Amino acid sequence: MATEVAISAASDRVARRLPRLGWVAVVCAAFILLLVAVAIFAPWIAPHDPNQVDILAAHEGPSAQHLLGTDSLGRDLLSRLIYGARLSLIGPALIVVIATVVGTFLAILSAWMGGWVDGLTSRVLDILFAFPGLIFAILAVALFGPGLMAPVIALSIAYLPYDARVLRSVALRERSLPYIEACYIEGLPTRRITLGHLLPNILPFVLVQATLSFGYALVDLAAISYLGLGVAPPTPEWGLMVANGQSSIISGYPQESLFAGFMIVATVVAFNLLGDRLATHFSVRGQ
Amino acid sequence: MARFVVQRFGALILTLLVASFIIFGSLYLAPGDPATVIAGGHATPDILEQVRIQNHLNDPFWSRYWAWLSDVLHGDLGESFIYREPVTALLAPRVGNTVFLVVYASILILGVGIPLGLSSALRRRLGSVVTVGTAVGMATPAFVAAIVLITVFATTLGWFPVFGAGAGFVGRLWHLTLPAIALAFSWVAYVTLITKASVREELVREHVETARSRGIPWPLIVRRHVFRNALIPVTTVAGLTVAGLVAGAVVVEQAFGLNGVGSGLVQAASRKDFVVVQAISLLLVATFVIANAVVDLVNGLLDPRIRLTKSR
Amino acid sequence: MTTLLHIRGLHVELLIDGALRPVIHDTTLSLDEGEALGLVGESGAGKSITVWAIMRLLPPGATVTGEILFDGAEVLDFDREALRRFQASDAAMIFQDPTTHINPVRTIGDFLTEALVTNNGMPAGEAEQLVVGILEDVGIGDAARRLKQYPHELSGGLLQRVMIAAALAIKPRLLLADEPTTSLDVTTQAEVMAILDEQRRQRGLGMVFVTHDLELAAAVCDRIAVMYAGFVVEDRPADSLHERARHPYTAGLLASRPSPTERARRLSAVPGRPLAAFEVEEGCPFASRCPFVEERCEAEKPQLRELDGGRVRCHRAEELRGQLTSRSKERRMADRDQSGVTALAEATLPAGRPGGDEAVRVEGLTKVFGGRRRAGGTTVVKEVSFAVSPGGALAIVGESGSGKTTTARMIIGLERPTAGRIFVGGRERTFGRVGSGERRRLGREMQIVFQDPYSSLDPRQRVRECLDEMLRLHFRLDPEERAARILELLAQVGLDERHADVYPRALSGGQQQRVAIARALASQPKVLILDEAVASLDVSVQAQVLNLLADIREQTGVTYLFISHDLAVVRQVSDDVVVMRRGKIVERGPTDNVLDHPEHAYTKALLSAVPRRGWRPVRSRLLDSMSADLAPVSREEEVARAKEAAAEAAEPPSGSHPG
Repeated sequence: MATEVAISAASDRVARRLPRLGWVAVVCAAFILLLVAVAIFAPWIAPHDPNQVDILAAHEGPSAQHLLGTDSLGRDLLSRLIYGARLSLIGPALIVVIATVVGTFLAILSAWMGGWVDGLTSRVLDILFAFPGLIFAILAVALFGPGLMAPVIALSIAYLPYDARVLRSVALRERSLPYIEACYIEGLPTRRITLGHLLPNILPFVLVQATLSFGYALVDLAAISYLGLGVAPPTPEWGLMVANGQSSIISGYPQESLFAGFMIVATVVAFNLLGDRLATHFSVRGQ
Repeated sequence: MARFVVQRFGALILTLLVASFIIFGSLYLAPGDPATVIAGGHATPDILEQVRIQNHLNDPFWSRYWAWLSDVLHGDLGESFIYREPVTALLAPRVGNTVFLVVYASILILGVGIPLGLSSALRRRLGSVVTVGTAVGMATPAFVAAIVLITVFATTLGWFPVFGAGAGFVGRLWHLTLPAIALAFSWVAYVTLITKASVREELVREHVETARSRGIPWPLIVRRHVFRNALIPVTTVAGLTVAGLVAGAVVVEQAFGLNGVGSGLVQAASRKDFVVVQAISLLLVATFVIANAVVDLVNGLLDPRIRLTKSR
Repeated sequence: MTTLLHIRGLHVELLIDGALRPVIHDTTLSLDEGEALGLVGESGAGKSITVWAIMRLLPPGATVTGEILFDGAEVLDFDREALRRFQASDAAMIFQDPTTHINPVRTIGDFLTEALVTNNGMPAGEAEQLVVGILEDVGIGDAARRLKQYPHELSGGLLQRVMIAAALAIKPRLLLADEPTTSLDVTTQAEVMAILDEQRRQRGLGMVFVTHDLELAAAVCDRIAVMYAGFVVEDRPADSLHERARHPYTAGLLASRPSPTERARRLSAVPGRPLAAFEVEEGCPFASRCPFVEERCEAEKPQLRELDGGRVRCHRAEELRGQLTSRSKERRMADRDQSGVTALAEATLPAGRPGGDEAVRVEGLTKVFGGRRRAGGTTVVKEVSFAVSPGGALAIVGESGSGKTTTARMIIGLERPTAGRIFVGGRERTFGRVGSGERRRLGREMQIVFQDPYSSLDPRQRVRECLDEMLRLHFRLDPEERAARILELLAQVGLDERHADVYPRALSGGQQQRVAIARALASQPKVLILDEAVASLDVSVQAQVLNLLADIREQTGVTYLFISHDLAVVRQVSDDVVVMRRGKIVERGPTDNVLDHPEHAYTKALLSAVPRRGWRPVRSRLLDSMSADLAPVSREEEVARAKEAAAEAAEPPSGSHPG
């Protein structure tokens, strides 16, 4: 047997590497981190007070004073975009956190307990599927008034079934693998199996789902603000800025709307691409 | 097969009931008493009393629900507090625009998305252009697409009107082109992506390999084995897309100043005209759910593996 | 005899993980008209790739150099039209898994007639007539009805016959069969092989038959070519293979395969694991595993040369002549005196009294899926009773859908029996809410090793952490003691410290399975259930693990419950056997008795279907009437059996990896 060991060790020099993540993912991640940093350090980075009105300087194009120009009230666009990052990012972040945490919990619960628990959860989630996020958010605003919290809670609830469904199928698949069964047979307590073995193995998928959901959340929340049902003016927020700037377009000053729109698209692209790359990366288990 | 249909139908009814219940019950979630909510927050006690009587708010909960539900099924969606008119009267002129818009957008989505997805899966160079395009497209919310379109085509080039829905078929077509494109934009990207992925996946399936090994000409393989199989998941997505347009229509109608059901919802919400919000929400949710169920059903009929299940 | 196919110096590289890697080095083969060549090897050998290269089916990005001459014409140079003609009427391929290789949304009839109609321009009606005739040739009666069915309505065995029929329909001169029976049950395999063999000979077709099963190839082919790490290492007539194998690897393969007719004292395993073509460096590809290796072997690559009626690629072939085969004969001495602890034959069970002596005992075990017993559910296990004494080894043998896996899962506690009782170590097992305390206690009594090694280990845990977790769960040891124990466990399964601090994906299949065994032994259980534990391993690795299991049993006196579909493995490993079919036990007794003198028709059929020296597949009407193939199956039964089969078939057996 010793020879077998020695020989088998010698011929086992194959390194099985996971595919590299790729430069696209890295660029996107860097962009996102930069955005977050900008949002956090807005007061130190923004050149002007975002709410400072200066009618005389309205609708100016890019200049040394105002790098991106000004809006219809003469406020510096760059500063408003920078400060806008705060609200535009925090809302989706909250939604994603709530929806994925609850979704993961429900997914593991359903996958582990199976039976009627799974059936009941699935029925409830099926019902929630009936509500498109935006409609639900509008309903919430009609009930509780405009702002950030009502749409955020509504969208979290509306997104829950999507996250839970994806994660549930991941959890089910993982749970039926022999290594989980082996843990069960060994006699490991349920908490240790679900938290110590099952959860770590589905975390990559949770991360992917969260990243992709962020994009949708950002779009929906910006839409709510655009419709005037979200944060109120003069607070800088990208969706709101698109709405504010719309009337100026006809007069030939599309800057506000376009720049704000661009920020939204760029951010969502970054999250979508990152999520997509992560998904490909994690789907190869290295066998 | 019959069992499949009955099951789906049953689930549909159940979902509709529960959804309607949630929409109905949401009234009671708001702060303040229901009458105040309906009255939009400011009203004298007299008016409040009127509201209560009109909406049967003094009746027990379940009979209220039942009354409301049967009213809805009979076509009575309640009365707007602000306009003092039946909701159905308010919506009637708007429905046409919304339907036109949604259908127009659907045609664009399916007519552009599916062929684009198919051909980009088969041609390498087109494929990479499309990849970039879909990434951006999917990230573009309808309202951003709207303002870009307005900026470029309406204001700068002047090809299309900036707002309003127009009259008559041609008038509507012209007026609703930009809104339809805005609405369809991100969905086209999505459908293209899914179609491309589905076709790509199908191209490497083992049964395609078998056909290749038999020397069957490639165009024939693509038509007989790849397209048909790839279309099954695509029809699901396409159907769901159309269903999801109800939400997007809300934003687009508002952006282009169209008189549609969606903009009606937004205006009612900002004026706190709760009865209208409730009614339109119900309408949109029901449309969404029914559309999804129809797609599900059609999909089941298309796939022989489901269609031919023998039930005992 | 004209040469139909001649391959010379074939070298193939595939795009793997973005880099071009060699999968076939220098391959030289030839095939005459009407001759059958078996291409045999383990994973990484390059056998499937060879056949795909012939058919020009390699994925984009592959580079192929060398010659492939079909009837004198160079296949690699074929333009589109010539290739089409080649694929449409000269050569036909039969793939491994018919369920994925046939379009699920088109009918069987469409599949069968497609090539005829589109390539040969045959009118549909005529094509159908032709095809109906061939279906009858391959033993599918009621052909007209079958034509309208969809693939998911037919079983694997039937589908494979359809695949063969489709290949025969275009009247090719060359058949290329890529592991056509690997995913089938052994009785179905024998039947399908018999049909393929018969039809091929009748029509005088040449065939290249790729398989990992050397005995199967020897039974149906005229010549055998053995491949290793992308090289052909030996090539000789099938009937002289056993007596005159000249390459150490061939001899090793022959010796490491257990036989259903006799038990070897110890399997002569080939150490290490099969290498892939790109892992081979200078010298002989087999050098790292060869028991006869010399300095010359590691420095210089041997060439393929003529020797004793065949060709062999080995520097020392002449001197080793005679040593190879006699050595394997020696190993194969059946030694009945040393067959381990004698186990109680299953006689009458004392009613109601749990035997205090028995390691495991089951009484009237029944499992019904989907519904109550009386109304529409499918009974997957029916009234199964047996017992195993401590230190004994009982094998449960059956094919897919037999209920053997479900039985094992009920015993280990992963499924809940519908009826019956299970006793472990004398204590009855209860179901329902089982707390972790009870599970832990049972974990010290009984453990399980699963079929697929990789998915039975947590990919996020290093080997050391995995074993440590188990030790902490069951024993009160301090960290030093645990670390020492971990090393002991690893040594017990033939691994060492180097294997402790890696993740499972860095280990080979055989090593992963050793880790799984080590984990199972960590709690020092009295009973070890092995659920097809060697079925996914390459033949040479399988032998290593079987030897390991025998050693462990000798050292620790653990009781084995061995689930397997493979009678040869069963003969090797068990003292007693229980044969299951469709949920019931059809025969039982000491292994040697049952396998030497089978009484039940099914056991006989099973035995007669196992490929071994001197065996030939025969079309048996007996099998036809008993096989589930031809009887219509209800959806519920199908689902229940699919659940059972899915629980068993985590991964197809070794050799089905590309190459």
